[in-house]
Amino acid sequence: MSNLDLKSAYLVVVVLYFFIPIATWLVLFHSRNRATKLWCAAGLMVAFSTVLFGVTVENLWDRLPFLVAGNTMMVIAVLARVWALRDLANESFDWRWAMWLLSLQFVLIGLSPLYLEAINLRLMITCMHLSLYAYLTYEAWRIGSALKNRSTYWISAIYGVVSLLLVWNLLRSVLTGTEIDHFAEGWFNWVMVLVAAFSTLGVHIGYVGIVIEIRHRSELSARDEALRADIRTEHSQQMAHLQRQNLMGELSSFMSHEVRQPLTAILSSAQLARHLISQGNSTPADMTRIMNAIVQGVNRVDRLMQRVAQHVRAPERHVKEFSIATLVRDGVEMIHGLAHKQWVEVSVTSALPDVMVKGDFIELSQVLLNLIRNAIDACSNVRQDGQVQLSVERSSHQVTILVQDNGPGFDDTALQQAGQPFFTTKLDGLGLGLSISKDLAAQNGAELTWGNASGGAFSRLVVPVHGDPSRGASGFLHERGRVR
Amino acid sequence: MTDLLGAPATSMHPTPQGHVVVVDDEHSILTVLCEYLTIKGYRCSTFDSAEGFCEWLSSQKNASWAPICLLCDVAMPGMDGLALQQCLRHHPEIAVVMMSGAASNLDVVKAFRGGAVDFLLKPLDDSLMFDVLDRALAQSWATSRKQERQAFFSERVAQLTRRELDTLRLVARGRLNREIADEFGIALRTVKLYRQRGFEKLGINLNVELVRLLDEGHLC
Repeated sequence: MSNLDLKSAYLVVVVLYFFIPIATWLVLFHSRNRATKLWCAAGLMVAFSTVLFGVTVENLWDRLPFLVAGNTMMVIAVLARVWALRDLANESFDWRWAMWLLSLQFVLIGLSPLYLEAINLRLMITCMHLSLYAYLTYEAWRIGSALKNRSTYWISAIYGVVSLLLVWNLLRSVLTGTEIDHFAEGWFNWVMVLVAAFSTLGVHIGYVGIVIEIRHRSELSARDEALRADIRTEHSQQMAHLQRQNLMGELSSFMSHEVRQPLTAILSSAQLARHLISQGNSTPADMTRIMNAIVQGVNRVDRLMQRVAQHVRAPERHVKEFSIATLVRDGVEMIHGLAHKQWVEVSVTSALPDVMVKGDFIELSQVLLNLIRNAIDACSNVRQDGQVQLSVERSSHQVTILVQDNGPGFDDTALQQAGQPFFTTKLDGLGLGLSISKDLAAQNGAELTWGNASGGAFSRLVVPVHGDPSRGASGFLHERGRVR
Repeated sequence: MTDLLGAPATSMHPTPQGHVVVVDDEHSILTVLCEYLTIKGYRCSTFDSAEGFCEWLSSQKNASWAPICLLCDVAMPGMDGLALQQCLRHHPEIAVVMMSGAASNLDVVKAFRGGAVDFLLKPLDDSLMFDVLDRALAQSWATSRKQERQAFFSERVAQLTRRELDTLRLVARGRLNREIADEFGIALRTVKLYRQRGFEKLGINLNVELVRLLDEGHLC
């Protein structure tokens, strides 16, 4: 112990106090955010503060400016550390009361000659440090539990030890009446020196640990989120496709009726031709005419099949421009058969503006068909005169399609839960129509809402207008037909 | 009007000039059916909507158009086939045949309850279609004859006096003249007079014709 003396030890500590924050700063080159800046700056401040406190001038009062400067730096350092930790935990730091604290200590120490004796000044300073470090210990612990971060707990523990030492120092001085002297030889001050050295090492390593842990966690959660989003999109596309096929199944009566019309014309034409030939009074002109009619009929069936195939095609998206009028007319036509079967009247009660929108036609068609189908289901079981009314309204930037039924409307549970996957009020329903429709709408930049109004339920699809809004105003198609 | 026994001419085949009205929203079907029916010797009219047909109907006042039948699609925009059937309740002489490409059980039940002669499924088989149309035209003819007979005799019966009517009722029930005279307290000669005048007014000659009228409820 004789080869080493306390002063050299303090020198080593000061060197550490300077070196380690700088090393930390260099190591954390990838996260030079405000918290890191504050932490390393605080480290340097502690170094300066220690130097200032170590200035040996005989008369304590002559040391006063150094003490004031040193203490101010210490306070700033501790508060900076608290700020850094709060930053890491995304909490706010009120620097205004920090300023108050600084001013307070400045005044207390600066004016101490007026009311204190030397021995008591040291005590006061030690008390201040104790309270600062106790506060830092508490903050580190709190933030450690908030972040669930082990390194923060370590930092808290280290500062806890420092605080305990300060308490010991204080008690020793008070109880034995001796002045606190950091340069007095004795095992206690050696303990202080060692604690000082290890504490600076420990807290900086701890800080690096916090940064690493936080980064690791955010990387994991980012990867997790990306994976989940991937699965969701993939699944949702499959789900949408399945639901589309299901919908087409329900509209099969539309298919069969629509196909049977041209088929009837084809069959009757062929039978007519056969009859004419058997009677022996067929002219080539007649035959040509009949064959043409047959060819036309076949082409129509083919086009119809293509259209249906489109609706149940593989789940790839085809985004293009199309007119809202086309979408609504197509949807009403397809749902016609289903509506007729359930004795519900589906009608379009407003003009259909020829507004262009951009999106996937099949997906938006699926949304609209789901909405109309739900409306039909809602009013078909309850009353004989079920009515579903569609209206289209346009404003400068968007088009709104409103589907209104005169069924019982949503009850409280349904209003809350509708749109959740697998929630349904239908006996044989899957409960996917609305949730998938909501997703599909969002995918096309549209918004889907629903609720109760006008003696029934409504659903509203708002689609943004594509292109020059002023263009849509000229092309108005009047459509006051009732389709049953 | 009536044959010798007073029987209505139901056994007569409907004339080949039976009128078939086709109503369907599909124009290609209207075209080909019209051509086929015409070639087969029917008179054919087509309408592409139920409303169109109703308009035409209301413009045909008091026309005797039997035999006439309607071949009508169920699923049409606007008024559908079943609604049209309801409108034709006041025209029982128009026989109705429904057809459809996608009919539910309910549709078929409603059609038959509403008095349809038959229900054809699309695509139409020609021989079945002509059979059904012939049956429908026959029914239309029979209904029309019955209506005419009804109108004719109602008018005639209204011209009978009370006494004549009472007498004829008893005659139809097989009472002898003498019994009738006793019952009413009139002379036998008077009974014979009433009988003769009654027969003249009704335009019949035989007792069997009178019995038939009684059966048909004209003598009440």
